[in-house]
Order: sequence, then structure tokens, then C-alpha cells
Amino acid sequence: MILNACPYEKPTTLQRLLELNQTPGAKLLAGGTDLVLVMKENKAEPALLIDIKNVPELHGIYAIPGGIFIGAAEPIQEVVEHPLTQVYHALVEGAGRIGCYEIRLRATIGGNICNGSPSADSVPGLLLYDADVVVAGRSGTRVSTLESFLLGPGRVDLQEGEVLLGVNLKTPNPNAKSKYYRCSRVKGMDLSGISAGIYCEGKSNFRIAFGAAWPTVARAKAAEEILNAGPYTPERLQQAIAATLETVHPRRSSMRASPEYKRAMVGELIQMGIEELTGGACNG
Amino acid sequence: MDKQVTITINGLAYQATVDTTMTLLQFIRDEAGLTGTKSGCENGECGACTVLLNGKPVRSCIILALEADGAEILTVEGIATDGALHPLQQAFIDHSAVQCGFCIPGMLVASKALLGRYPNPSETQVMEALGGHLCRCGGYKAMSEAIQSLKQ
Ligand SMILES: Cc1cc2nc3c(=O)[nH]c(=O)nc-3n(C[C@H](O)[C@H](O)[C@H](O)COP(=O)(O)OP(=O)(O)OC[C@H]3O[C@@H](n4cnc5c(N)ncnc54)[C@H](O)[C@@H]3O)c2cc1C
Repeated sequence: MILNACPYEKPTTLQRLLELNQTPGAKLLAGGTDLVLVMKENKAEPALLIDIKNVPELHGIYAIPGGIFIGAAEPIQEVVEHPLTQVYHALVEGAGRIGCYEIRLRATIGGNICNGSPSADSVPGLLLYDADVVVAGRSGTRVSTLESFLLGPGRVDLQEGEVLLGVNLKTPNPNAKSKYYRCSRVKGMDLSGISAGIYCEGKSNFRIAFGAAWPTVARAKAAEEILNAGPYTPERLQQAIAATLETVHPRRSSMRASPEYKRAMVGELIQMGIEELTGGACNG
Repeated sequence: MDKQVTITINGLAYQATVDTTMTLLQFIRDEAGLTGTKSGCENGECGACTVLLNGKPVRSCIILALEADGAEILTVEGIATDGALHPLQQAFIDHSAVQCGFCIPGMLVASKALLGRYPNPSETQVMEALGGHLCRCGGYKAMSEAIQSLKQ
């Protein structure tokens, strides 16, 4: 039960949204599938609730020079189904794993990013394609990398008064393929214990992102460097896994998977993903 | 902090003064007095509170009544017309798909939305649509058969 009421506004222009967002303690409400839950636990008591769903600048999935833009307030299900997103396989697969149909109709991609969960299922796919975030504030609009936007559990790089307008994705290389793998306790509605997005162009330019391995969703840069330094061999794979494991130290307090399980899955996911995408085992 | 909202439920407009503490589910049950829609887990996981909002299934327990101002809601009470059961309701009865019944209002509106999207849903599409709805009596198979019996 939500105990304390607060003012509620639903602006219809970005300018009004940015004005309202100057209010100390204001909170932005998109689909509410994270925020309303927190409000029900009375762990968030906003001074002002700003419903951003009617602001046009936060909507739409459309082509921009060199890629596409996805509005922050677009529902996850829209991201899953839209014709322009289908080339970003791991994004579509990851977003499609979020909650269930009803949740995906309501939950937004901006909410998934800004909630800052280390296991946010749309984020590995976005990172694999080097997504940028478009952020608006009173002093204008800025573009930065999604990677630099993710700061820690529940923390993203939004300054006071700023709002995420959406993400920019570059047109992928025509040979690019990617896949999303999620380990959860039950097949069906469950949060991820650990997840991985794997990307390659033919048999080269491997990219790897993990969810719930580190304090934020992040790319496995050390593994990528090793894998991309030469042909794919069993030795290189083992080196890449070992290099990744040096940085994966999950806390025991993680609710959904033990550190042992997560560490064991790191190697499995890298190997399985690469072999499935390249259509063969090492040396193949 | 109070605001007047108008929410149309099953074709009837309901007006009330609400604040940010009231969920759409509370509005439906307590303001409109329509108790067919159930309160289950209260955090969006179980599906008992599912209603159609502008034609799409959503979890009314994690939506604020304020967010639904101006919206059209369909609840289980609204799917029967002129006192006649909706074909889905009849099919659920015919296939003995109802045991305790607590999940059924959510199952029915989600199934209605499913048939709107896919008039001839596959088994996978049915399970995908019902996957976010918990039935602890274990009636998914009978429900799926009931829904599939309405294929055109
Ligand atoms: C039953 C259930 C199952 C779920 N399953 C999954 C799952 O499998 N995988 C997964 O990743 N998540 C899951 N979630 C979590 C949640 O649905 C997602 O994180 C969702 O994408 C959040 O989006 P939202 O629009 O509902 O965000 P909100 O709840 O509206 O907002 C979340 C946070 O982001 C901020 N915010 C939102 N939009 C913006 C913006 N444009 N600019 C700045 N800040 C913003 C809000 O202020 C708030 O702090 C689940 C939730 C539920 C209830």
C-alpha cells in the first residue's frame, strides 16, 4: 500500500517536463513497473511524480542518419516487435525475456536502462551495438555512450533535472549476428541469475556483454581483446574466459544466483555463444 | 494533491477524486465496485489483477489510477454481453478449465486480448499469453484447450 500521496503531473511537452523536473525530490514515472513497486514498499516517496508517457520527444522508433533512435518511453514490447530493431538480435531477444507480455506492454526501454539494474535484460544487447544515450536537461541535449551512463547498481549518469530521451543505435555491419542467453531458475517469468550477449561479424570482431556479473551490465573487454587478437582457438577461448573470471567477483548477497554458479556460467556462456554464432566448435 | 479522474470501465464512465496512493486496481474494486478483478501478489507478478487498458492487457495493481485518467478499461464483468456468456467463458466451463477460479478473471481478459491478436493461436502463443498468469490449481492445459476450441 502506498502511504503518502504526492503531487502528480503529466506534461505534454518536453519543455514543461524539464521545468517540472527542477523540483527537488521529483521522480519520473514511465511504465512504473519498477517505480510503483518501490512506492508500494514506501521506499520511494517522491516530492512530485512526473508521468513522462505523454511527451512526444520520448516516443518513436525511427531511422536517423547512420542508424536508429528508440524513444525512452517506448514500451519494451514495441522494441521487440518493431521492424527497425530486428537486426539487433540480442536486443530483441533480451527485451523479449523481460517479465511477461503484460509487463512488456507497460515497461519502457528508458525505465529498464535508468533503473540501473545489473541484470536489466535489454541492456546487454544495447551495449553490444555500442548504443549511445540521448539526455535532455535545462541547458540542452547531450549524447554520451551507454557504457559511460551506467554507474552502478541503481545509479546512472543523470544530473539533477535531466531526462533520458532515448538511445541511438548504429546500423550494424551486414555480417553482424548476436544472441542473448539468460540463466534463470524457472523457464517463464523470473529475473536473470546471469546473462550474456554475444556478438560477432562472421568469425571475427567478437563482442561480449554480461548481465548480473558485475555491478552494472558491462562488456567483457579483456575477453574481447584476447579473442579478437587472432583466430579462434581453444587456447584463446580459455585465455579469454580466464581473463574475464579475474574480474568477476559476485557478492554472496545476490538474490538470484550464487557466486559459484555465476562464475561457472561465465565460461559456458562465452563458449556456447561463440560456437552457436560461428556455427562450430574451436578450429572449426 | 487530489485530482478528479474519469475512467471508463466496461463502457461506463466513473468519476472520482484520487491521489497517488490509489492503484487502478483499487479504483476498479473500491470506487467502481467491480470486484471480479482480483488482488493477488500486488507486485505485478501473478496476473490476477489483469485488465485491458485501451484494449491491451496490463497489471492494474502496479498502475496508478491517475495514469488511467481518460482510459477505457475492460474487466471480466464486461466481457459478457446482454447477459450471455462470452464464448471464452463458455469454453472455459465446457473444458472444466476453472477450479478455484481466482486467476480466471485475469486469464479471461488476457485470452480475449490474445484472440484479438491471433484469431488462431498456436499452443506456444497461448502459453506465452498465459505464462505471466499464475494458476496454482494447475489448469493451464484445460485453459489452453478451451481457448484453442475457439479457433476459426
Ligand atoms: C513482474 C515483473 C517482472 C519483471 N521482469 C523483468 C525482467 O525479466 N527483466 C528486466 O530487466 N526487468 C524486469 N522487470 C523490471 C521492469 O519491468 C523493467 O526494468 C522495466 O523496463 C522498467 O521500465 P518502466 O518504464 O516500468 O520504469 P519505471 O518504473 O517507470 O521507472 C524506473 C526508473 O527509471 C526512471 N526513469 C524511467 N524513465 C526515465 C527516463 N526517460 N529518463 C530518466 N529516468 C527515467 C524512473 O524515475 C525510475 O527511477 C520486471 C518487473 C515486474 C513488475
